[in-house]
Amino acid sequence: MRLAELERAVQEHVLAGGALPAALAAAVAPPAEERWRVYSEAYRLRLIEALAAQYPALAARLGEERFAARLDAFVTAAPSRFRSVRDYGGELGAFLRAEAAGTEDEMLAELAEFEWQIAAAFDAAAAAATAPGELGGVAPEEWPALRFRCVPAVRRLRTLTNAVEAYRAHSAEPPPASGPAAIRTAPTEWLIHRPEFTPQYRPLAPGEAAALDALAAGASFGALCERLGEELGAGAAPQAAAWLKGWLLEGILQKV
Amino acid sequence: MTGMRMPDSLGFGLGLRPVHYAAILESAPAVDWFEVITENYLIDGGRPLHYLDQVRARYPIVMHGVSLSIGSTDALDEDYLARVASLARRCEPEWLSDHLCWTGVDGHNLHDLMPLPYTEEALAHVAARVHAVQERLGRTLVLENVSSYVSYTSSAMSEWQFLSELVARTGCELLLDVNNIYVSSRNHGFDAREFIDGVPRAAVRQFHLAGHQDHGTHCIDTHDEPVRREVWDLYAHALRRIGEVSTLLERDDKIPPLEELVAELGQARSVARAVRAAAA
Repeated sequence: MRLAELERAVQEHVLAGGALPAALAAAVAPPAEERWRVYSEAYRLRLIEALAAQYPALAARLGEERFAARLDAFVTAAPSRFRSVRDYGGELGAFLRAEAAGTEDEMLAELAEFEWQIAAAFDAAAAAATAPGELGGVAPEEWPALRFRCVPAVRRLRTLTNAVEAYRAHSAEPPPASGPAAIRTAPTEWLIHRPEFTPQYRPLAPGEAAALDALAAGASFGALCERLGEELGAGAAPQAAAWLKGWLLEGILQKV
Repeated sequence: MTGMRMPDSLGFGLGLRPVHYAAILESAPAVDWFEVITENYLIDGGRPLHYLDQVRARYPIVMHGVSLSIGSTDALDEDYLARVASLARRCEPEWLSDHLCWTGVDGHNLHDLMPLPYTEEALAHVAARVHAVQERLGRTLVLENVSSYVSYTSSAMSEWQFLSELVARTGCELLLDVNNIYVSSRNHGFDAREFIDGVPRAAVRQFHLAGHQDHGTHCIDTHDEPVRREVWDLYAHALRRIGEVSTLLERDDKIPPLEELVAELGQARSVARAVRAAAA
């Protein structure tokens, strides 16, 4: 058997588990069957362990056995294509969502999506945010043209269940015996960022999410005020300025 | 000559693990150097890189990869190599190591160190890739022998013959994992000392020490407990035959407090001291 053919056969067996195919049995010195299990069993266990580290609140909510059972199906459906195991598992939220049957499952999917974004914020590049004082010298006529972008650690998310409440509950030390019952909630927009090394999150006020998203997508401050003017009239500019000040104080924006 | 401390040895080091970051910086433990798992730091920013920079400012660092997949029949992953090169520019490691194995084909990663068949075909394939990686990174690659649980009927040479020939063809260096040699010797029924005696002494850059589980019929390399007596004995043999090159103690599971690992590292120093004294 040529090297490429051998590697492909071995990989197929490790991914699928089960009995050793005849071609491999002939290629491997005895006792092949028992020894192969070291690889095929370790493969699933290792990935599930990595996912438990990546999704600690989800793992705590489901408990060891249920977590392993749900994630075994995910590992089968989504084998790793990443060099670093910490990059593995980003599709888990979508996988759980596709399987969702009922509010608890919808909440688990949102919880997974939320935890993934927390992990992404944790590893994001550090970048100097613009401090409010740096805009002190901007002339009034220059304000409408100002543009900003979010620092790399900023993540946005929308939930329709109490997944974030569950995240908070299951992240507590010591962990609770059981978390909150899953319920549907009013749509909530979340901001995740990482002031220094520890990710933080908060719900965004109504209207604030759309304004932040518009600014992050390249809208100028003037365009933002104009857009808000349709809803708030004369109150648009003060509201935009208040939000901007808040975001600058949080350290989530860079002046472009 | 045998048993002597090599002039370029870094001494006795530990694997850098996140649970020990704060303790290392606060207590300045008696550790000569740290080895980092390369892939854990192929990230854009945040706490792990912050601590890596802090530790690097105080200790020599070696980068130890697990996903180079030097034996895979996939093309070399240029993006991965670029990220490794970038991390190496950041932390200026003493050297870069990875494993003589493959970790996946067709773009997959099994996140395991899969053994190669020891054939001329595999040797030529790996040698060409070692050349390419050394050229790409501008460094000598250090390759580690893995623990293995299966062997292929097509193998035409021993693992140590394969490693020796790879060194001769590429100029790469070796990270001899003494625990892996022991585990594989039990699983495949070869003489662990013959392995150590069979590799080119001058090419050995580093030793690894770790714990394993003995299941009677076979051993599993688990890195979840202290080094076993049989491995300490084999380490003493390696020191006598090869000399005192940089030694690294690994623990990846059930990681104890830092003091416990520093104490176990003290045991490695004692073994080396005893070997040195006996050779004098």
